[in-house]
Amino acid sequence: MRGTGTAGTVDYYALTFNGDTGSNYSTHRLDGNGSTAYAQSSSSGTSILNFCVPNANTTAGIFGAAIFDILDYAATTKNKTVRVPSGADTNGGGQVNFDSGAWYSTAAVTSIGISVPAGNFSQYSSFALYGIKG
Amino acid sequence: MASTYTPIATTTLGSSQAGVTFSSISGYTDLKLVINVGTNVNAYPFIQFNSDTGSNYSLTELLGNGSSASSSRGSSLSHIQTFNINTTTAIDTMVTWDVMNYANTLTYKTVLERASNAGNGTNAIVGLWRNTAAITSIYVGCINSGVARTFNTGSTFTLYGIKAA
Repeated sequence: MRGTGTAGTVDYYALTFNGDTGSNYSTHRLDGNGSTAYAQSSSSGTSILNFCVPNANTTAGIFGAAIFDILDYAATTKNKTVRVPSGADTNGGGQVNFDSGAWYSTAAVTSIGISVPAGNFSQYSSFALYGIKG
Repeated sequence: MASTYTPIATTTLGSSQAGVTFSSISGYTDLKLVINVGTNVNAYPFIQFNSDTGSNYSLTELLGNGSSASSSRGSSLSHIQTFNINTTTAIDTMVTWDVMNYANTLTYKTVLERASNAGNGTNAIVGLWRNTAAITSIYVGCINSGVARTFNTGSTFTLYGIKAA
């Protein structure tokens, strides 16, 4: 992922399910910025989020990456938990993240949205969704 | 339906060895490299792409060693390496590298790494290879202060391909 934002160097992605833009998400973040390890959290948010989207202020060609593991996504009796390793290295900057997110809904996940609120995703950003069958 | 985690190649060392190369990689969307390795000396596993030994790699690391968490960075490196895996007891280290969109020729390549060793700690790394070439080969080696080390007999290396629909 790469974004078109122009503030700082690395923007955040926003992950949502089923088009739900209500305050039904939380994120716990364990991050490293190259000099400090730190933990943060957000609750009653409108998305699951973290910073791994290099923006227009970084060298062309640099893209960040994230893997969203969504367990038991079709369950209708439990809220959904997501595990997210992610990061962006810019050869002198960037951060690495290991996060968990929650969507407080028992609905089965039938659609997934990902955006970069600071702008748009740049061309050549790529997204792939895989199913894992038991 | 997309297939997931198709094993491309697996190697189990019959004797100690400095490294393993996976070559002629093609036909998938993403790659996942999984190794379970040990060493008898201080050594840091690393990866290189397409035999590039230039200063074209960098990384940002998050590390926990059982008593504290830290973060560090390396710029203009000759490889992407993880932490010291040597322990006083025979505890192997599991390391995984996810290489997304490895075959594209438009972007630099970003790698997400995770390593775990019950004796030494656990980490997460984001690594960057500043090259737009498609990745066709991966070398996994181990090193300490610029000197090549060897993986122990029985160390395993598996490369998986993941194909999008």
